[in-house]
Amino acid sequence: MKKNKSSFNLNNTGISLLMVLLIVLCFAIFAILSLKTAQDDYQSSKAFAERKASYYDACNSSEEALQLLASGDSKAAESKINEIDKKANFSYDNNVASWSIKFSGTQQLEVQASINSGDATISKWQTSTIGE
Amino acid sequence: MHRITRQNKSSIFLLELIFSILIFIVSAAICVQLCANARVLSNETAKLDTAVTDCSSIAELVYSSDSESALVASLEDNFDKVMVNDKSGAQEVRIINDDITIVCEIESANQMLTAHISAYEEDSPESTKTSSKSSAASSKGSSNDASNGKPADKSSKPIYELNAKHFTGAKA
Repeated sequence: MKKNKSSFNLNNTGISLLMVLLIVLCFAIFAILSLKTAQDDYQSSKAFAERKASYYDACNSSEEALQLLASGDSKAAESKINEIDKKANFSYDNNVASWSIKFSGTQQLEVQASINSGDATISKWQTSTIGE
Repeated sequence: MHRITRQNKSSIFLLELIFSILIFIVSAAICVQLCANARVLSNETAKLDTAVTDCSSIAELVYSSDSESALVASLEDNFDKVMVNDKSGAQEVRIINDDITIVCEIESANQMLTAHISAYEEDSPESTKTSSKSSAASSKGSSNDASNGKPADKSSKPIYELNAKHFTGAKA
């Protein structure tokens, strides 16, 4: 006797739906991962940009302080340094000035310079990690 | 007992297929949107990175220069497309690098060389045509090339800004 080939089997119901769900799940995982990676990259770039800006703020304040020291105004230089970091350890003895400005959570700019009339000779201009 | 007829089978299969297609369309739309957002964000990241790198390079040039003219000369040496605008008491240098235009305003007073560096997104070709009539006093590189574009309108928000000050009386 000939068998009916197109006999319907209820067990096959839903396989296509399952396949679609699987494909969609893969798409969703890839999309979420790429978005998360892009967000993390952007956040890290922003943090880097902010750290750079803080570093150059510290450098600018140090340059202004050197200018003030060279013009003989050590008080103004100290207040300029303290404007950006109150714990800068500013010292000025025997025409040698030094300070360290904290510009990020773990980094500081250390400056040491000897001041002559009208100019300054920088002996130390170094970024270091706090605690080292 | 209820029997599944041939007509019922077809309608169940059709219903399932329609349901699958609907789910796929909705999910694909959401996924494409997420991917598009990721692409926009990566483009912004790339622009920010370029802007930060270029601005800090210029800041380092400021710290190694002793005068306005020396700074302008070193900018011309280090970048390909540089346009210098002489203003009264200050110089404005515009640098076009990739998709970024950097505007650098240089001043010098009391042995202090000051540069305000701002990075902008480059203008679209439409606005390039309108702004290309503005004059630049001197230029280096292929500044007449239309593809160069002109720097973005300064009223637009910069991507990144830096100030660099250098006391020229200081020696290392």
